[in-house]
Amino acid sequence: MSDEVNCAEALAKLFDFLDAEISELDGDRIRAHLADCDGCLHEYDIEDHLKALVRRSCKEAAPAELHVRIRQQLTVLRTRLEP
Amino acid sequence: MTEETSRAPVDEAAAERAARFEAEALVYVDQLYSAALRMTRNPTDAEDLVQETIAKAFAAFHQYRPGTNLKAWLYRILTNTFINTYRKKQREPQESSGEEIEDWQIARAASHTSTGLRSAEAEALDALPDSDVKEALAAIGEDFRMAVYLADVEGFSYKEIAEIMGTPIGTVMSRLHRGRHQLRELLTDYARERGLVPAAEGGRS
Repeated sequence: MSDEVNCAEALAKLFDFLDAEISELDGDRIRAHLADCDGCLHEYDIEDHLKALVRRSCKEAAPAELHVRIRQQLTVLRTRLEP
Repeated sequence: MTEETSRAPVDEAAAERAARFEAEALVYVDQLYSAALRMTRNPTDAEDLVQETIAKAFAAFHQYRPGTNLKAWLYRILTNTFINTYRKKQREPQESSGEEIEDWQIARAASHTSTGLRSAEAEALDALPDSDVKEALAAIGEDFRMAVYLADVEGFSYKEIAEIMGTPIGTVMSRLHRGRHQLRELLTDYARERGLVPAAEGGRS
């Protein structure tokens, strides 16, 4: 089939694939290429790890005082709605 | 008389809307703070930014269409507030704006093996402490940082990020590519410094 993905195409679409921004058909084609190409699979592997790493590292809860201040602020704002 | 009867429902709607805002929007405060912290890189500014965002969102909540993406709507306000208030204040040198889609596709296509990380070493990245990742994110350009954050941490689609950042999707993709590329270089360096990957090997293959 002339449908095969080469490395250039696979790499160009790697982030689209990683971010699930790709059609199912294209996704299957990329997947098939990755299964056959160590170089591209390696690239994918690193980007996949990086994405997971960023997600893991950046979750932070707001300080309790901020939650309190926002509640207070909204109470003030709501009283201004009163006629 | 007509005043009385025509005004009452409006007031009631406003009160209802306020209650709905508290019930639906405030659950995002932690996430907004987390994003604000990445944007401002400073806890005090991040708190102020979130508070201002909530106040603006509350005031504009009548413009929000129920059933649409509330989280994305709030992030748009957060981003706009940041750009209009804090970016000016922080006076960070802006990335040059020549960032249309251009060289990254070619650069990547050519960079099959030139990254300096070997297969087994992808796992080494997992051992990096959170502080390294935050530091690396703080070090890259602001627009790149936000695109990466919105995609990787919040899981927004390219289309949503484009709406939040007020840019075409192509620009989002370009920012993501560049941001991730810079992040990867930095984190690879950090991993080397920490001895998680061999220093000599892999540098250029």
